[in-house]
Amino acid sequence: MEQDKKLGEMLEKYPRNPQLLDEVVDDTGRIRPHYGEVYEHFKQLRIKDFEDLNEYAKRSSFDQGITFNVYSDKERGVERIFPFDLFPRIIPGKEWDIIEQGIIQRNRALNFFLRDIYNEKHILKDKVVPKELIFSSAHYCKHMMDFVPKKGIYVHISGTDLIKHADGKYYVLEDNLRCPSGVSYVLSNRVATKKTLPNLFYKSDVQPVVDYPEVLSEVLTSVAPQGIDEAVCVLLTPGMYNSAYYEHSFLALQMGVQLVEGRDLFVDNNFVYMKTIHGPKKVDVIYRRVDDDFIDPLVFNKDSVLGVPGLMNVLRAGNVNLVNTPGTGVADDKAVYTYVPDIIRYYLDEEPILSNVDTYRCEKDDDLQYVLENMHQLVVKPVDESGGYGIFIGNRASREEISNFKEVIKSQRRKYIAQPIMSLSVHATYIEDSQLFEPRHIDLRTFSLTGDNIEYVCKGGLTRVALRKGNLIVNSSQGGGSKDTWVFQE
Amino acid sequence: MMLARTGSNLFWTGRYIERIEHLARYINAQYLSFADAPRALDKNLGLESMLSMADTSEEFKAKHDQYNEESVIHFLTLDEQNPYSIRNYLSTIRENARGIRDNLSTELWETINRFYHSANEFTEEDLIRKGPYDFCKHVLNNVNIIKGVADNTVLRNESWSMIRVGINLERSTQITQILITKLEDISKIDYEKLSPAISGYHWASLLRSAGGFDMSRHYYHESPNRERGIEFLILNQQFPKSVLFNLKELQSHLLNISFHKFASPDTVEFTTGKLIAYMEYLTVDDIMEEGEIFLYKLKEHLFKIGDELERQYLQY
Repeated sequence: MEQDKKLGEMLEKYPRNPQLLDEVVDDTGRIRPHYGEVYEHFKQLRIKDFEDLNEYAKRSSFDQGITFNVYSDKERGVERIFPFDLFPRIIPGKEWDIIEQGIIQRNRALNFFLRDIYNEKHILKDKVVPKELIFSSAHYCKHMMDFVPKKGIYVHISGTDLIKHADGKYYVLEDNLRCPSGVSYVLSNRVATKKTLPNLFYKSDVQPVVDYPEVLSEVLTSVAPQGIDEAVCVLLTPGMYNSAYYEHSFLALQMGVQLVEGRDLFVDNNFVYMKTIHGPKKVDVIYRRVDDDFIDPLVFNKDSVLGVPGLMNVLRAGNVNLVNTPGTGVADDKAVYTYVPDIIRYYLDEEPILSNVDTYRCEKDDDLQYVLENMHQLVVKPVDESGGYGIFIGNRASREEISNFKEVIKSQRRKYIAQPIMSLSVHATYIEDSQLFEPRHIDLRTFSLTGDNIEYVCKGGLTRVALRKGNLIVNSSQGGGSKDTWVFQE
Repeated sequence: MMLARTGSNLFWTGRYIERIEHLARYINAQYLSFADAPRALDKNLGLESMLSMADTSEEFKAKHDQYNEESVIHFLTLDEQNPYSIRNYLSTIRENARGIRDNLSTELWETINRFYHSANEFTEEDLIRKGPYDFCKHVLNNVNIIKGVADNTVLRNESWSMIRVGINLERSTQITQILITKLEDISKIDYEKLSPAISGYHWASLLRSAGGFDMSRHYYHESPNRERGIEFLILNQQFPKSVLFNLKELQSHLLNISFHKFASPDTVEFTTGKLIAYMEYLTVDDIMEEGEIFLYKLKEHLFKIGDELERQYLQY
């Protein structure tokens, strides 16, 4: 009977690509041991049931309002969900331990680095990092100079992007130290897996991710200004038309803090207050999801209505704390990224646990020479763009495109870095169009927290999938989906 | 602790949920009452009545030259161009709820979100083919589910009270507006010529439109007439849709919001208390003596409560 067909039949047709590192299947075509149980479970599912589960997962995201707007000729636009793949990505406990230690090490070093470059500047004086690089960065914030935030923590929330290369090693692709987003998908993907595959989940020893909002709440309280018994923490959102609004409201609800907009806050006599139905109420810690540029119109973009006039002064007076601190973007600049291994050695006197991808800085003469000669096997990226925009991929470009781009690089050397074309690992992913599992490239965004005596990495993270065949860019704005990510308990 | 903006969103969410309930019920009741009217009533009277109850006669006339069933019903239910259509109110309800998502229980938010999406599936063709019954019934059912879910899941704090204040104030206003509209409808018919049976039909239709027909039968053990209809909808202290019942609920929720502070004369608590004190010692004969003037004055009082509430609590 057509109806009784099992998923095993579909999985047998899996088109493995022997040139790529497959997370699920090894070189000889065998299922890797840590995927054994999940694979067996999927094999026994009826295809019909699997498709129902897939529909159910989509419906559930829709009902929860985890949607973004696609504008169309219809007045109210069309709402779409971010595709979620039911086949979880699994990371064995031993691999995870290295990732976790590596991320914590990176966060420590980057916090020391930020404190240093905004104050004593030892690392620049010692010429480990060139000072021109820092002072020319668009994200270097002069309003943060000669000021140290509570407990010396600048980056409380960090999103480190990792990939697994063909050599089987994890590499850090970039650090996100401003307002990294996506953690709500980690939590809602987990809920979706638990609902759709309960018996599978029950049998597997998967580390929980639900503690994230709780730890975040502790982090916020731990960095409240001096002498506050019960800190009032709020989450500042640009508002419900922001694409990450779902996440803002979700986290506020999970932490039980107020979700505020700029217009709900005001500064009076160097304190920040929110407007409540019973008058002003002092605010101590602001987890802000508004970018630096918009956070205080008196200091940054003067046309911003998303921020709070006078906020920076209150921060410097020590009467409020901002999470993350303004000016952290200077450390996740793609040009500064290349120095992170040196930064780790400089402040911690340790070897980096996680590798950086080899990077050539076009502003250095030797590197530029190499880049111009090897364009066809490099990825060239602007240092100050995010979301996968402005990326040049050498092996996809025509001769003419290559020579044109060489000129672009030469005219703005500070703006570009180049990296070897990394081969992102692939993972079996259900493709609706072909109704088959196919290999698709994946990466991993991790979420980590730093507070007073708190160092935490969420055990899991957001595995992003490039749904288009052969595509290496996994951003949701470029047609990406996501997977629940399981870290096994050893 | 509640943000003024949050308070405002909660208040208007409560009001609009209640408003579309009354709109949907009224449209349905009017539409059905054409069907079994004892006399061939002028159909336009029913359509005018719907527009007047929704307080949108002017807006409709600005766009349409004449009344017909389809255009009026579409205008009031699904029309995206009409800011006072049920569809647009529902969009606002959902936007409001999304803006304060963190103050609502997950169940409540998802119920509102599902309702928004399911209501969007109704099309103009559905209305033409099937009449308004399906859509209105869908609205009525979902509004009741929303209120039930809110009742079962929301903390009994200021958030809850702010939604309830919206609901109670809107319900008092809608019941008053329905009374004004129906009394006008009836005045257009030559009252003297009506037989008691036909007159009874009108009062039954009034009570149905307000969702109080069966309960009033139960309460009076008699068919409705003018006095009983008015008394039941304004003064009854057990019927959850009567104006006085809702004012008293509203008062208790205001006390919850103000933490039982002393109410000075410039507060909404004071204005509400004063109106309740007046109405508690009112008889149906007093109301009948004043007639429609009473209803217009009552509407003014209710507007004032809304204004004062916004000034006192919801500025941001």
